[in-house]
Amino acid sequence: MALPYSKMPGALALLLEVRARTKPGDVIGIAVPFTKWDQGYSYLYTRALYPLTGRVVVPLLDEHDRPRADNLARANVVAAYRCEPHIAGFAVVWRGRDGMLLRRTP
Amino acid sequence: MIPELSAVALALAVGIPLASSLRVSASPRDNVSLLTGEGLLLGIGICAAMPALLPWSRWFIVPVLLIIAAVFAWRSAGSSPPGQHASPSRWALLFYALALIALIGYALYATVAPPPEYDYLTNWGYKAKAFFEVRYLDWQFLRQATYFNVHPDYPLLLPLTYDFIAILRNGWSDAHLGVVNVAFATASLLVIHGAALEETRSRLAAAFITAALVPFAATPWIGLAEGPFVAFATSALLLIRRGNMALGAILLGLAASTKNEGLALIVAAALGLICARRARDVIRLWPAVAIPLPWLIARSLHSLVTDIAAGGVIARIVDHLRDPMPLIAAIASVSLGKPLLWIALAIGIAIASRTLVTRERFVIVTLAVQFACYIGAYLATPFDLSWHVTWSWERLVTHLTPALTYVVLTSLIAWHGASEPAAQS
Repeated sequence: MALPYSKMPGALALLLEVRARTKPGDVIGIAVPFTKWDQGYSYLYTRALYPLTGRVVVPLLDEHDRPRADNLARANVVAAYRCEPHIAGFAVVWRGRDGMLLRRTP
Repeated sequence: MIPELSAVALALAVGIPLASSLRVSASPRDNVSLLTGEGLLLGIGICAAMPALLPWSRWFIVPVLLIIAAVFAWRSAGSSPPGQHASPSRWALLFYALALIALIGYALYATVAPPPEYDYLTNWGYKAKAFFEVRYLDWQFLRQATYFNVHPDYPLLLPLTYDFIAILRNGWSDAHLGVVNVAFATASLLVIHGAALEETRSRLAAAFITAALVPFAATPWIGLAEGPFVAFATSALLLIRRGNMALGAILLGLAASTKNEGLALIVAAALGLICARRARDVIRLWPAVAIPLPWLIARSLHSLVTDIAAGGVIARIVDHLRDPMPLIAAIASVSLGKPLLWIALAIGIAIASRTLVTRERFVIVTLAVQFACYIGAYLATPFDLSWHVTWSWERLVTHLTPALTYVVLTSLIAWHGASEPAAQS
C-alpha cells in the first residue's frame, strides 16, 4: 500500500494515525506544505480518501489554488503533513514524526 | 487469501450449474473450459449482486448462495458429463504450459501488494471500502462525493465484488484483492479457449490462441475495472458471435454493470447483429438491458450525474469537431506499447481481410461502433482533452483488442485451412 504514497514519505503512516484518532463522521481538512493544487496538494488530498473512509475528507485548497474557507469552517479536524498550520479555533492534539492532528476547540 | 479464494469457489459453485443450464445445443456440454469460464463470470456477477440484495453478513449470504447453487445444480442435473478429448499434441502442451506460466506470473504480480492504482484508491476500492464501513450501499456517500474521480455514476459490480470478499472475511483487507483480477483473467481465457476449441476443433489452435491472448486478458491495472470489463465484454462478444445469445447477453449486461462503456457495447452489439444480418437476435439481447437497468434507475433517482453528459455536451462536441487536431495530437502522443503486436495484427487483418469481412461482420462492426463511441466520449469530454486521453486511451484500447485478436487469429486459421487444398492442387 506504500507505493501510491511514495512521493510523500511518511504520509501513509500519518493518515493511518489520523484514522485511528478520529471517528466516522469527522470532517477532516488536509493541510500540506504546498500551496498549489497540482504541485503537491492534490497528491495527498486525493490519496487521503481511501485510508480515511468513513470520515468526510475535505480539501483546504481548490483546483485553482485558492483557499477553501468553507471547507475549513466545516472541518472539525485538520491533518497536517510536515507542516504546522496555526488555525484559529484549532489546537494540536497529537504530533508525530511526519505531521500532526489538530482538533477544533470547543 | 482464504476469503478471496472462497469467493472464487462460491462463484464457481453457483455459476457453473447456471451456465450449464443456459447452454444451447450448438455448444456441446463437454466443453469443460468454456463451461468453467462462463460459470466463473456468471458466478462473480451473482456474488457481487448479493450485497445489493441481502444483509451484509456472511451468515445470510453464504447459505443463500449455496441454496442457489443447489437449485441450479438440480436443474442442470442430467446433462451429459464431460466427454473425452483426444490427448493434446506436444505443441499444444507447450502453448498450454506457456499460458499457464504467464498466468502464474500474473497471479504473483497481482497479489504481491494491495492494488496500488490511483483509480483504485479514489474510485473502485474507495467506494467498496466506504460501503463496507457502513455495511450498506451508501447513497448519501455517492451523492456527496466531492472529488470528481470518485465517479458516483459508475456501475458498482466491481466495488460490490470487493465488498462480497470483505463480507466473507468479516473485515476489510486489500492485501490480496488482486485475486479478483486473476479470476477474471482466468475466466476469460477459459472462455477464449473453449470458444476456439469448439470453432477450430483443434487443441493446438485453441492452445495457441489462449496463450496468445494471455497478455490481453491479464490487464496490468490491478484493482481497476478494466480486467473485469475485458473479461465480460470479450466473452459476451465471443458467445453472441457463436449464437449463444442467452449467456452472451447476460455477460453483456454484466459488462454494462462493470463500466459505463458496457452500455455503449450493448448498442454496438445490436448494430453488429443488424449488420451481420442477425436482426432477429437483437431482441434476444434483452438480458443485457435488464441487468444494468436497476442501477440506471437508482442512479437517476439519486441524481448521480455522468460527467461526460454534464451541461453543454453538444457545444463541446461541435468545438472539438471544428478543431480535431488537439484530439488527434493527444491520441498520437500516447504510446500503446507492444509495437510487434500491432504490426502482427495489421498483417493478420490484411491477410484475412476477406474472411473477416464475410465471416466476422458482427465482431468487426461491434468493435468499430464501440471505438466510435470512445472517440465520441473524447469529443464530449468536459475535461482537458490531452489529460483525458493520456489517462484513458491505453485502457480503452485494451477493451477492444482481445476480441479483435481472437477473430483475426481464427480467421487466419480458417484462411489457412481454405487455402491449403488450393495450394496442394
